Order: sequence, then structure tokens, then C-alpha cells
Amino acid sequence: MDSKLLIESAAIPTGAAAVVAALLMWITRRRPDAGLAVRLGVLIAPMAYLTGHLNRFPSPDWSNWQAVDAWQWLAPGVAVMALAGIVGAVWNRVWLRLALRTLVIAGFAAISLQSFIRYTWTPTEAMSWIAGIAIGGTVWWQLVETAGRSGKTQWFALQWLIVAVGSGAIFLLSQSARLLEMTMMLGAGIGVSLVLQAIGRRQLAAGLYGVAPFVMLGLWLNGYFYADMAWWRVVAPAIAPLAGTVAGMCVGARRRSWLNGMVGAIACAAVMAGAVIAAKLTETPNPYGGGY
Amino acid sequence: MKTIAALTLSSFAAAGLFAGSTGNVAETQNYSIDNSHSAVIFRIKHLGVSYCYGRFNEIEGRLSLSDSDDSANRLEIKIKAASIDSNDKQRDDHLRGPDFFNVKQFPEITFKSKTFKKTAGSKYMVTGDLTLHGVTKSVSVDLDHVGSGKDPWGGERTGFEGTFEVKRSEYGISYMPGGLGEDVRITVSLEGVKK
Repeated sequence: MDSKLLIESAAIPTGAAAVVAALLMWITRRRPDAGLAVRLGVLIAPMAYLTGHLNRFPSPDWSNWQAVDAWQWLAPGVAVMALAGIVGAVWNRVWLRLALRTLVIAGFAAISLQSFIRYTWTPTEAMSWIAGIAIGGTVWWQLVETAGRSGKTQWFALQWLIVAVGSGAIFLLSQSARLLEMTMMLGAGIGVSLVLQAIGRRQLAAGLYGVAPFVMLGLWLNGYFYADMAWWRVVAPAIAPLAGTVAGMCVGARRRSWLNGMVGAIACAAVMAGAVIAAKLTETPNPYGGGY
Repeated sequence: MKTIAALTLSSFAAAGLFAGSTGNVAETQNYSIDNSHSAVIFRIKHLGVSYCYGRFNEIEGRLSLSDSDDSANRLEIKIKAASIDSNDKQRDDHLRGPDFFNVKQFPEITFKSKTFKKTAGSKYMVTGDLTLHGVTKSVSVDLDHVGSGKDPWGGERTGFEGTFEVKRSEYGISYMPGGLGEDVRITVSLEGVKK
């Protein structure tokens, strides 16, 4: 693993996200909690991810689309999702947001799992998988977003950073350094959102719900289908932010209290730590020791 | 008289055609690739200090050879990408994943000849389409016809070997450019069993 590349995968996306965040902060300085510009916080995470992806990975020959690696489709998927986020910010309707998300997830799943559709699945299985991923993904996304935005989850950005870091570690332990790098690119955007939340710009920080869950979903799909990751290696990170919310609620702390945030972050970290430790314990042993 | 001449001519023509067709059938030998006596090995530079070798363990294909007609020669090889073996299980898992071969998405590596000509003595030149990691490019390989002969079980066998190089980034396998070289040398050693 080239540490220089990993730093590059985090530093450049962080810079890009910081520029967008600073611009949005300046635009929304008079109305920090409402308005269209605040909803444009959805652009922070995709800007980080896309800058990192385009900087690190050479663009494939899109005309030969069947030869494009499945993970490469995440970049256009994020771009489309960012546009959908802008549409959702302008026309702030729940049904529109859900419809756009379902469509984009279904499209992404259909194109990135094309080899399974062609070689492995029957048409019925393919339809079931795509529909299941699209509907399941949208429901999960809506759940984590509702929980995060409701105020019952203080420090939601911290929970997402924990999910990103833990997922990255699991990708690495699953022999997929590229997926780790891609997680770091998203993590950079989440890190900037965490800073925004820390300085009291919660609404702007909540923009991470516009695209970050999609990126994580795309990475987990790639991990499960193409990196041979066991199902629990992708399910555990998906339930971690929900565990954080439930733990925060169970503590019965006041809304947005430090205790709520701390318990939520600890619960989320506990789920992720358990998954990372289990991944480490079940890692393919290297019979010769050391790196390869 | 005309009838006899026509019959005679048509008989000769038919005989000629028949002889021609049986001649081609007889001259063109068809073989299937024997996986256990064939190998596809590769070498790639590691950290700029040494060459690391690996192989693919599951190869299948067919070979057609004609003594007199190069256009009848054919070579088709299909390799199961997941059968990669670099003598390190952990590294093999990495090579199978999205960082490199992405074998779930691109399960097969194939070669299909377009021309396959004898150049001199036991030397052949085969040009065809190599599909690797979903990307198809034309490659030319000098092949050495190692030999042909009978095996102890009554079958007939023939063997070829050749080496060529590809640039891995041209096939979309560009990960770890610092640690791994760009040029990959591939050696193909094939043994065919006559069908």
C-alpha cells in the first residue's frame, strides 16, 4: 500500500470540499439555518469524492462501456446524484427525493452489476436484485437521513466519519485498496461536514445526507459483489449509524446534548470496531508473513 | 460424344473436388488444449528490484493446424481469470479483486487468432485479439512449434511456446503503478491433444 497515494486520496478531496463549504458558508452567512443555499450543502461530499476520483483514477474508455470496471461507475453515479441533490434542494419534496434516489440507485446497480446480469443471474433474479437494492437502499437512506436530521442524532457527521473509517479498514482487510481509497475520498467530504457541524453550521453539514449514503452504498455493493466480501462486512457498517441513533435515543438525553452525541458515536464506533475486528480475525492468512 | 465428354469432365471435377476436400480434412489437424500440460505464466517487475512470476491454472482452448494452408490454422484460448496463482493466497485474493483483474466482472481472458502463419522452420507467427479485463486488443506472438508426436496412450499431441509483452494499463489494470511494473511478459506454453 502506497501511503503517498493514500494521503493524496484524502488531502486533495479535503481541499475541494473545504472550498465548496467556505463558499456556501459565505453565501449563507445571513441565513445559516434555512434557504436554498443551505440545502446546497449536498454538494460538499460529491465535490470531495469526484475531485479525488478524477485525480486518482484514469478515465476509462466510456464508449466501450461493458469493459468499464464496476467501481468506475460510481463517479458518474455521484455526479448524477449531486444533480439530483440540487433538484431536491430547489423542489424540496420528499416524494421527489425518494423517486430520484430510487431511480439513480437502480440505474447504478443495473449498470455496475451488468456482468452478473449477463453471466450469472436469470432475468427474474436480476430484476429481484436490482429492485431489492434500489428499494432497500432508498429505505435505508431515508431512515439514516431522517434519524440524522431529526436532532435525535447529535454529531451525525462524526458517526458517518466513523462509518467511513471503519468501512475503509474493512475494505483494506478484504484486499481492496482501491475501495479504501474511494472511501477516503468520501471521508474527506464527511470530515469537512464534521467541521461545519462543530462550528454550528448543522444544516449545511446535514447536506452530507444528499450523496454520502449513495457513495457508501455503491462501495459496499462493489465490495460484496466484486471483492468477495462476506455479507456482514457490508451490513455492519450500514447499521452502524442507525445503532448510533437508537443508542442516543435510549439514553434519553436532551435533544442535541453532548451525552446524546457521545453515546451515539460510541454505539456507532462499537458496531464498526466489532466488524473491523471480525474482518481482521477472518482475514486470509499470508503463509509467508509480512507484506506482499 | 458431347455427353460422354461432359460426363467425363464432371467426373474429373467431382473427383477433384472430393480429393480437395478430403485433402483439407486430412491436412488440418484439430487439437484441444490439454490444461495439465499447458501453462500461461507472467512476470512483472516488483518495486523495481525483481521480477515476480505468476500463472493461470485453468486454460482451455483449441488449435487447428494445416501443413499446407496457413489460412486454416486457428488458435483459441480461454483462461479462467480466477485461477491466477502467484504463490501467495492473500496476494491472489487481491489480484482477483477490483484493484486488478476484477474476475467477478471479467471472468475470462481470451485469445482468438486472426492469422496464424508458419514463418520459417518451426517458427510461427500468430496475430489475434487478446481480451483481458474486458478490453480487446490485437497482439502478435512468435510461436515456436516445439514438436508433434504420439503419446503412450495412442493419441497424437503437438506443442507450441511463445512469449510476448503487454502494457497492463492499456487493459485498464493500472493499480499500484509505483510498486508494480507497467510491462507484463507473458509466456504461453500449449500442448494440444488431437481430437
